[in-house]
Amino acid sequence: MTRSSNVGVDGVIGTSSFDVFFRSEYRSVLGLAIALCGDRWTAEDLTQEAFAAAERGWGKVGGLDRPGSWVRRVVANKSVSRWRRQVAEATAWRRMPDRGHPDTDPQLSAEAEELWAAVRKLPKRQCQVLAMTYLDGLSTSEVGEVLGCSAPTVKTHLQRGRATLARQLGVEEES
Amino acid sequence: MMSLDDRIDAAVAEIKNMADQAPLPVGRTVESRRRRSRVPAWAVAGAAAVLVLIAVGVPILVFGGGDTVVVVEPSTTVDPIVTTVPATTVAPIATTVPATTVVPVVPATPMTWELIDNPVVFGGDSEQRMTDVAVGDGVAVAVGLDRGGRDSDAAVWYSLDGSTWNRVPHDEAVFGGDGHQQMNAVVAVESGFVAVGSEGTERDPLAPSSAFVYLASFETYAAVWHSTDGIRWERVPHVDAFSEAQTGLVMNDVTFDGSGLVAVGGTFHRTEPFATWQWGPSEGDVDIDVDAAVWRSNDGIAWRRVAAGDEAMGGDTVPQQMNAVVAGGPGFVAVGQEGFDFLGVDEWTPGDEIPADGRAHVTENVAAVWTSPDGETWTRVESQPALEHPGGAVTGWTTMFDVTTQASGLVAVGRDYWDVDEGAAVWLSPDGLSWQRVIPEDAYAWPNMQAVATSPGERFVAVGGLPLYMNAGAWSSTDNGTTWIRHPHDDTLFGSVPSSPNETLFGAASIQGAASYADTVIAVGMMKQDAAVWVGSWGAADG
Repeated sequence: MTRSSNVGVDGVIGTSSFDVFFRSEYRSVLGLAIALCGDRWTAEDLTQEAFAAAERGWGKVGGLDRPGSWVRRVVANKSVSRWRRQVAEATAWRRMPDRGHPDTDPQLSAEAEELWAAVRKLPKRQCQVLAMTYLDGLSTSEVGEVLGCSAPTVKTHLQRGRATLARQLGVEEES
Repeated sequence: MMSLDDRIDAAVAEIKNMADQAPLPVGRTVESRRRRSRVPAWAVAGAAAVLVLIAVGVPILVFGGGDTVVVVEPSTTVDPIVTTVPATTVAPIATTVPATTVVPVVPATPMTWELIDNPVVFGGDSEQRMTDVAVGDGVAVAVGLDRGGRDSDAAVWYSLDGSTWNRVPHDEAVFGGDGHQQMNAVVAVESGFVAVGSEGTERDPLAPSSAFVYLASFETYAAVWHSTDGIRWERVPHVDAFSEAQTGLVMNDVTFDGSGLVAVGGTFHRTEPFATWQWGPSEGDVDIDVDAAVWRSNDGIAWRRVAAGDEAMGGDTVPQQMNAVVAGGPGFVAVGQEGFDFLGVDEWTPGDEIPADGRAHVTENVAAVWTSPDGETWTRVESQPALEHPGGAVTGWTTMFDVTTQASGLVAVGRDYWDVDEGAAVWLSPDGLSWQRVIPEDAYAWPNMQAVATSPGERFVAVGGLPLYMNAGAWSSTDNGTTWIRHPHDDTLFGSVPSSPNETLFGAASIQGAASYADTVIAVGMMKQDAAVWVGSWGAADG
């Protein structure tokens, strides 16, 4: 059997190239998703969806120089959209009579939550660039590779995002 | 004082710690996790449906308002048109296009945009929203709805210069009545203006436990209004063509080809045994088939339904809906979607056979195009890669929301949500039959192009945004729609995204309609739950 799978029929994680990739990248990608989604459960869903898509297309994705970039791109793109959609869903939920509001899993400190909330409020590309730069420690060219844009563009997004963040958080922006 | 980098370092450490503590998924949990939602599935689906239906201009009542009918008075009297024009400062709208148009050298951002702010005219209790705008005979007319009263009523605003707007005074006999009324589109015709939309029951009687009052109430009817000057409006009397037994009807758009009108939209009817769409929680589910619908009129007053029941409209098994129509191509071209914009649970791909039990939960759609030589007989354009998801993605939601035409052909806009990304989408066609996708700048930074307008000189403007959770956005093209530039975002101009689910959506904005005259584009929608107008000017950008 040559098909990659992260788990065998007995539930034991396998050792295919996808399995190795999955185990080495999962938590890092999950961190990116948490930052962009603001909700761990949604982030886990998205991360698993992204890896599931990678597994389905592993013949193609696995052949890429950096399959991790592909998964990060999926997560980065979908996280922002998903999160914004979640906001709408939560608001719609709040409008319903006699129903509560879904939990928000407030597991970060107030300071961290404030910062990531401000990041998520940035334009989509700035939001993605900041999260990848700081969470994954990617260079501007690496972030550009993930997002499909040039390094100068990434640098511009980074600078603008940082400036906005500093202003909104009331902190000094160091160069 | 703590530095930004200190704050970032601390926040990054917390995120990494949280991710490191997360268990590695064991087993094929992906699919099961996808099913799980922290909000009940029906609520998620409802919210998604609400978003999408709002996006496609389908009227929805979320809740009835209070018990008081609130009438928003215009800022000035409406009688003589000339008295409302600031004669000295504003040039009147000229709807005659110069025979020869010089296309200016295109700067990096070829347009300037201005948000017209007038809370007295555009605001009110609850929500006011403009859904479309048309320019004709020196008047710009925007139509939409006002949820400020006992229920949702149709609403009209007008301007003689594009910048100064007035609200047509509410007249319950014209714009109101029992249940909801909403104008979805307006077009300028020889005799004035014609607006189309829907009216119906305030609440869906078949969704008693649902907080969402869905338009697909079977007591929703198509509705038409007419005006000779854009200011004085009359309701076109209800005719049989506007309703159908056990079926909800709605007009989403209307066009005028110089001799007659074509309106398009959708029908929603209960189907047994076939159910192409399931709405609501398990208790009180509503099985609905959605089909495209077309109406014809020579004068905007007398209307008849055409092509009803034709296979091209959807038949019994394929959900389809027309979102927009334009006079062009082989005669008329309508655009929309096949499938339904709905985040369901079980996968079903348009074209697949309906399951034996007759139930298919539609979870994706593809763009759909219809053509007609005369507005009477319609043909569905064959499926082609440009109308499906990019890269052969398996699952996605691709929808055309609007279409316009110019000498070079047709331009349709919409959105695409697929395996990897979500973005605004543009399609070009020389004839309405063969289509090509182009990717606008920042397409995947903005999820929606809601409307497109044509300016002289093969220039186009596309606008968009979803009303509940997004910024508005505007793109322009000066080369027949081949390349698109997005206007730089500015929260003040295009609205702001809330930073958490607990934050009010008061800053969100969307643009849902656009029309142009000479070098000006008027875009309309909603900003901070008030109606809103944006005025764009070609060639005036200073970089």
